[in-house]
Amino acid sequence: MSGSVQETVARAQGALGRRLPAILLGLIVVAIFATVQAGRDPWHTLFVDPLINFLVLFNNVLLGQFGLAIILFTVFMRLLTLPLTVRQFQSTKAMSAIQPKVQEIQKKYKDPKRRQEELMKLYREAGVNPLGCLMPMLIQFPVWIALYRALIVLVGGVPEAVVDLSQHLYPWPYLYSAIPLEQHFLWLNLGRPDTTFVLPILVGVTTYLQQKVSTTSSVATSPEQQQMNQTLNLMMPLMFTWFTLAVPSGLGLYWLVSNVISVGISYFVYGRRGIDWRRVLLPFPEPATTARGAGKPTSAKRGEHERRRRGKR
Amino acid sequence: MATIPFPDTRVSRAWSRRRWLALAFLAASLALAAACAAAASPRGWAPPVVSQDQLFVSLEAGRLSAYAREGDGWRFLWRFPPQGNNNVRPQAFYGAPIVTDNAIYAGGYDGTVYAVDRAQGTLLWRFDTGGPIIAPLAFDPASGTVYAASDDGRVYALDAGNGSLRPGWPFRTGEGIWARPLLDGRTLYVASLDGRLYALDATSGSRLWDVEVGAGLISDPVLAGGTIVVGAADRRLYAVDVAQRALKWPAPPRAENWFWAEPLVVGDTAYAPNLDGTVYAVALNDGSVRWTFVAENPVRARPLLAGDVLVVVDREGVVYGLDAATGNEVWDSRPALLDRALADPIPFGDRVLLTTQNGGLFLLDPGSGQVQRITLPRP
Repeated sequence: MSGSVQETVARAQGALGRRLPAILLGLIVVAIFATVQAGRDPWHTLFVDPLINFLVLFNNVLLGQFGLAIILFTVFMRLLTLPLTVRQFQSTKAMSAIQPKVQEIQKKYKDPKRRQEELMKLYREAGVNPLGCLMPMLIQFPVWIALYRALIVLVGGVPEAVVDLSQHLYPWPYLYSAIPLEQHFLWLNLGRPDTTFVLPILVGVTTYLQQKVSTTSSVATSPEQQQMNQTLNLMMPLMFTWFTLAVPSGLGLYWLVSNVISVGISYFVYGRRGIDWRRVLLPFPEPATTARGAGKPTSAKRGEHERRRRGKR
Repeated sequence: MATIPFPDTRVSRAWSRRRWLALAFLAASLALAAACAAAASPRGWAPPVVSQDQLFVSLEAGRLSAYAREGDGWRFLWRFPPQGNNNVRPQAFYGAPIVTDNAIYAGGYDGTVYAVDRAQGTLLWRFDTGGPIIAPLAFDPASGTVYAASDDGRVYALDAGNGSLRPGWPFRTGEGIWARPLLDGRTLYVASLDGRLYALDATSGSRLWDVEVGAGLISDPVLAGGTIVVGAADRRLYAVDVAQRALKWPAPPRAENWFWAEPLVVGDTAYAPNLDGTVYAVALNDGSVRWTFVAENPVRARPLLAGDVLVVVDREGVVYGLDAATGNEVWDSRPALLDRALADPIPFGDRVLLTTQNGGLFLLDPGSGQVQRITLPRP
């Protein structure tokens, strides 16, 4: 009886977990409609303004240390979206685990219709939704963009930006009396780009690590995708290093902390053995094909190995 | 960022390597454009200055231009810094330049005070402070001293002749300073973001007294009849009785946003625009609100009394003509400058000069509310 109750609870929790992104998305859509009905700008009312005011609140709680407020706020936001991030990583991981079977099916069935049927069957049996990793990402996008906009408004520093900021603050003396915010943190002026190159380099290195951890922990299904992963692994760090040189360092600080947290979450989800640290630290990946498994991506073999290892347990 | 595996080889094939590269570059370009567009850069809101038929105006960020009046038009004289000079980068000017017979003094957002030859536009001297200069400069013609308040929290007294720092200066406050130092005889009043109004000896730089107002002081203070009126970050407008060295009003008027614009005091009334979009007419003696006028947008620029008309410009460039006694509008329509307007309007004969953030220069007839755009010759 007790077992049955536990199973029911577990099933219910599982169902809730699966539907969480859809529920959140639904709530967001309802809130947007309600805001539009009230004649207000939903983007700022629902996303940007609350984040700006939260950031100022954090700043006040931390005795005016805006740099610390950005760090704490980033951690807070990442914790808030942690269920979605973990779910996204788990979906990616689950897809990776069945990739060998996917490739077997793709080789075995030449008829596209039959191949698709077999693939869908496989996904059903494995309890995997091929778009499962997309939904959590889609929900997090507005949060990321809003956070970015909030930081731009707050760390802009220039008087024009402060005039704009005045229109976003809630009418609470505890918040609006704190303006202007302290712009100095460690060696940084948070309202200006870091000319010492330290922060841009740190952002570049952590972006590289984050990219490598996520791409080496998943399976590239084709040489094209592997090529894309390689391109992104090099382009993203360069891009973010360049951005950090151009934008206020408060944003760079956010990217740095966010990257470190992402690597931490990857470690948490994939586990110590799930991440091939040797490949993470190598700037260029191993060759995509081997003599034994021509045409099969190395990462796919790793997924197969993982599957076998699980099978032995 | 997790990688999304493609379940179907057909889809994978469709996305060739070239397409992925193109997509990645597109994403990078979009992100870069978004980052560049979003990151705020200083533009400045220095109002123009007209002196002896010459116009000194900053219509481009970090550049000051001089024009001479010729008939109904203007002739270009010089531009500072000159084209191609990369050693001088003021970034932006937020305060009106001080214009004397021989020199122009301006504080740049790069934290430097510049002295420029009035005739040639060449650099006479420069003085670097420790932070951006947002506050307009003050000038004492009697002693030949330029006072510069910086966001580094200090007030500097400089010899107007050579830019050297006067003995006893700078004076340090607890926070940055965004408000113009106010000179009255031998006393210099400084409103700081640390929430205090300081009275300094204008010669020695020593503190005479100070008053704690509470929140950071952001508007340029104005002195009238022994009362200094100043706006603060707690959204209140304060009055300090100079003789009593204490706050004057028992209940300072409170708005929905900051009083950033310098109040205009005429007679016994202070006209104080607010970033909540309201203009408050406040009685100087007790701080009671006589009337309010609600504009369409926030107002950062100081109002101007032209004849009997109180001219108000809001942030989006909508211009209002108000009856100073009642706050009622006097024009049939509201002229629009179709650009952001944060700079104070200034008198120009019986007209009013208005500037906008993207380099627009306008002439307003306060009697009719008609606005005419002024096209200046290109350098």
